[in-house]
This record gives sequence, structure tokens and C-alpha cells, in this order.
Amino acid sequence: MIFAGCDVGSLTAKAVIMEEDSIVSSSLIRVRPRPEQSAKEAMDIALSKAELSLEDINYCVSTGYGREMIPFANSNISELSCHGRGAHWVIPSIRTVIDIGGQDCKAIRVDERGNMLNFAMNDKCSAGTGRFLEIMAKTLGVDLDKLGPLAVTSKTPVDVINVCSVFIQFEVMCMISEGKNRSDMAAGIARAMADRLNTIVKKVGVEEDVAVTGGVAKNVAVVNNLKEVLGVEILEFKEIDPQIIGALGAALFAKERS
Amino acid sequence: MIGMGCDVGTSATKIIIMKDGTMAGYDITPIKDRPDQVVEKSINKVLSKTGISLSDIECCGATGWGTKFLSFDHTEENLIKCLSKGVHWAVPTARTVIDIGGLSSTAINVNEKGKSMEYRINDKCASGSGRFLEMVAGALELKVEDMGSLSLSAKERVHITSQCAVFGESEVIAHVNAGREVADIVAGVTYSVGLGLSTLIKRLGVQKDCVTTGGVAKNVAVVKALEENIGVEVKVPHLDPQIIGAIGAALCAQERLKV
Repeated sequence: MIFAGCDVGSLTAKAVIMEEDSIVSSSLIRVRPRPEQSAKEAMDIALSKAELSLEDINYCVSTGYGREMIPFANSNISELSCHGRGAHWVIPSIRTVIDIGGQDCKAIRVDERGNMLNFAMNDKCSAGTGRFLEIMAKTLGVDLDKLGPLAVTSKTPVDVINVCSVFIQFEVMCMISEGKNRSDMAAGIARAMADRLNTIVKKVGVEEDVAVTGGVAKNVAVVNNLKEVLGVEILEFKEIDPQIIGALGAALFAKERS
Repeated sequence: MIGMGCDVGTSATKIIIMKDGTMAGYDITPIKDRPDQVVEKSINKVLSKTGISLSDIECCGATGWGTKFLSFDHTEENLIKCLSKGVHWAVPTARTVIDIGGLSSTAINVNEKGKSMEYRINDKCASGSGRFLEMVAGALELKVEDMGSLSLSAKERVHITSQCAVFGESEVIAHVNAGREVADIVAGVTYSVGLGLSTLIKRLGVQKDCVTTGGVAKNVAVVKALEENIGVEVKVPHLDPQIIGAIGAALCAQERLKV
């Protein structure tokens, strides 16, 4: 049996195809103007990698911000449940998942079976989301994926005093005009991001093991700072892209529901 | 007595010179370059406009985020105090002042002597700030100063749901992509700014006359939305509302000399 999960977020769309208990293929694209368009494109890419067509899928679950608008999905489930389930499937010892998306961040507590127990989230303020890092990368004039590597080279990170993305952008622009070192600024930004995430995680409490999902999980400086402020180890998904965990969780639910 | 007032804000520097209690001249320069150079240029502009030389200035009061960029002798003045004194000087009947600046907004209740009694400030979040309007203007390729009149020409105001300035900007782009009229979008944005500011004033309690200052006070649509949501008339000073803080800074510095 073939199962699929499709996660349409605010910035990226992801699809995962599973055959019984193993991942066959996955995809990750930048979103298109309409969620159904994003979902179709992501799914088509995953299907062609697996040499399958839409008719081969026995059950598909959609998730994410656009989950209710996906015509080919049999049902939809909140991304909170999907991230919890997906992370737990890859690393069964996971009890806390921190998902950092393009426009929100969530802390999710799961039980020993991967079921969600509790969560806290911020989707009102861009601080502590992927958008914050995008703005900072642009302000510093570096590519988003270079922000982490740039930050880890710093020995003297700057202190960022503000919380708001716009205020921090202004703060960083002032630092640039003062001639501050770019890696020190990148490191300060990573710290500010981790501090902000910490306030969300604290609301549910952290229980080990901990994993980070979403695009920001790829920023090594943010993850390092998060380890420090939370005082815990953060486990890696190794060969699985942390950005597809939500879609993976959706595919796992698809299997359960079929 | 010749006094100078400097209000170095996060988006513009405002310099005024007062001579014997009247306004001799002023300058407003947006901060796009190095702030220290902008401040120096702005001061030189006012000096040449008024024909006053720097050595004639008997006192200088400075306020705002960027006072550290002033290279000559000045006294540091508290922004709340400056706004209160400045608004009292410009509109003596003012009892509530709402200053809407580049990054922060401040609501102050003042007494009949221009003394601040109580205030509320938002200097943590850019929601409803001048910067938010600049971001939207940039995204829509408009001039910030045109947003007010454009809003008034709207037929059907869009509803902006985001509070965060960054998310608000994305929401605006989504409305453009969905084919909404620019005027309708801008009207939604200016309305949301006015609505957000009204909650700051309500936390303080509005008194008549209510006066608005700062760069955003020049946006007629924001002022209108503010009036609608707080239920009282909101006056805008006849002279440029953006220089009220700088006027107050000059007044504060003059007062120190008298003591």
C-alpha cells in the first residue's frame, strides 16, 4: 500500500510518499500563489521520483497552513500532530519537538507513542520564525543558508537587545554602520532567535529527547544556541531532511486512516 | 534667547531653532545614511535657513534614540517631557498627545501647564509604527506621504488581520496577488495602524483635546481611523507635527538656563 503526506506551509510545500513502513520519496518546493497549486507541484515531484502516479496512492493526508484546500487529500490533520508523529517515528525517544516554520514556531510534547500531549505556539509575531532569519540574512547581505556557518565562526557575539524583527533589523543596521563584524552580528542574531524560541518552549516545558524540525533546524548556530539556552542535547534526524517531518507525519497518519 | 532643539529619531532627524519664544526655522531629514552625518547636515541647513551661527546658540536640548550622534554641547532631555512641553507650546488646550514615530508610539496625558501626568509607550513591537507604513509603501511602490489621501479614495477597505509588521507586509502582498485595488489595500493598512494606536490610548484614557504628533500624524487616514476608534476629535498641530519633540527639547534646555 502507498501512502502520502502533503505539508503546505507559508513559505514551502513538502510531500512524502511511503510504501508500508518506509519512505519512498519526498519533495520540497517554494510555495506558489495558491496552496492547491503548491500541493500539486510538491506531490508531482515526489510521485515522479517514486515513478508513481496519483492513482497509486491509497490514502493521502494534508497538513500545514493550506491543508484544507488540497483537492487530492483524503483528509487533513493539524501540523502540530504531524510534526509530533513524524519526529517520533524517526527517533522514538523524542518527547519534545520544536518546529520552526516560515511564519510560526511551535513547541510540541509527545508521549512514548508519538501522540501529542500539549503544545505552545507563536504565529502572531515574526520574531522567532523563519521570516526573522530571512530578514536578518538580507540585512547582513548573506544567503540564508550561510547565516549559520557565518555565526559559528564568531568568538565575540554581539548583544541584541530587541525582540521585534523590525527593531532588530534597525539595531543590526546601526551595528553595520558602526563597522561591527558580520559573523559577530550573525552569532548575536542566532542567540536572539534561540532566546525567543526558549520563551515558547518554556510554556510546555522541555522533556528529553528533543528534536528541531522545519527549515531553521538547518541553521547550526540557532540549534547550538538552543541547546545552550534550553540546557539539553538536540538530536539530529541524520539522513532525513528536518523540513519534511510534518509531511512524513501526515503520511504516517494516512497509513493509520486507510 | 536663542535655543536649539534636536530630536534624533529612528527614521528622521528633526532640528529646530527658537528665538525669543518663536520658531525661527526647522529641518527634517530622513536618516538613510550614517546618522552622525545626517545630523550635522540637518543642523547646518537650519543654521543657513535662519542666518544664525552655531556660536549664537545659547542652549541646545536633544532627545530621541540618536542623541549620541550630536557632536557638540547639549543637554539630554527626556522624550516624554519634550513631547509634553512641545505639544503644550503648539496646542495649549492639548491634554492627551499621541506621538507616532518611526519605530515607537507614545500616548501621554498632560496637564494645563504642559507637564506629563501619565503615559503609555510601545517601543517593543513595530506593529502600527511609521516603519510599518514605510514597509507597505515600499512593497506597493508608493510614497509614504501619498498613503493618506490614497486611502480616502478607497471603495472597499480590505481587512488586515496581522498585527506583526512583517506578517502585515506579506498580507499586503497576498492582497495584491489576489487582485485587490491598491487604494483599498492601503486603506486597510492605514485603518489597522489607527486601530492599533487607539488601544494604546485607551489603556491610558483619552482626554480632550487629543493631539497627534510625529511623522505619521501627517497621514490623514491614520488620524481619521484613530478618531473613529477612540471617539473623540484628534487635532494635528498647524506647524509640522513631526517637530514637536524637537520644540520640546529646546524648551526643556531653555528652562534649565532659567533655573
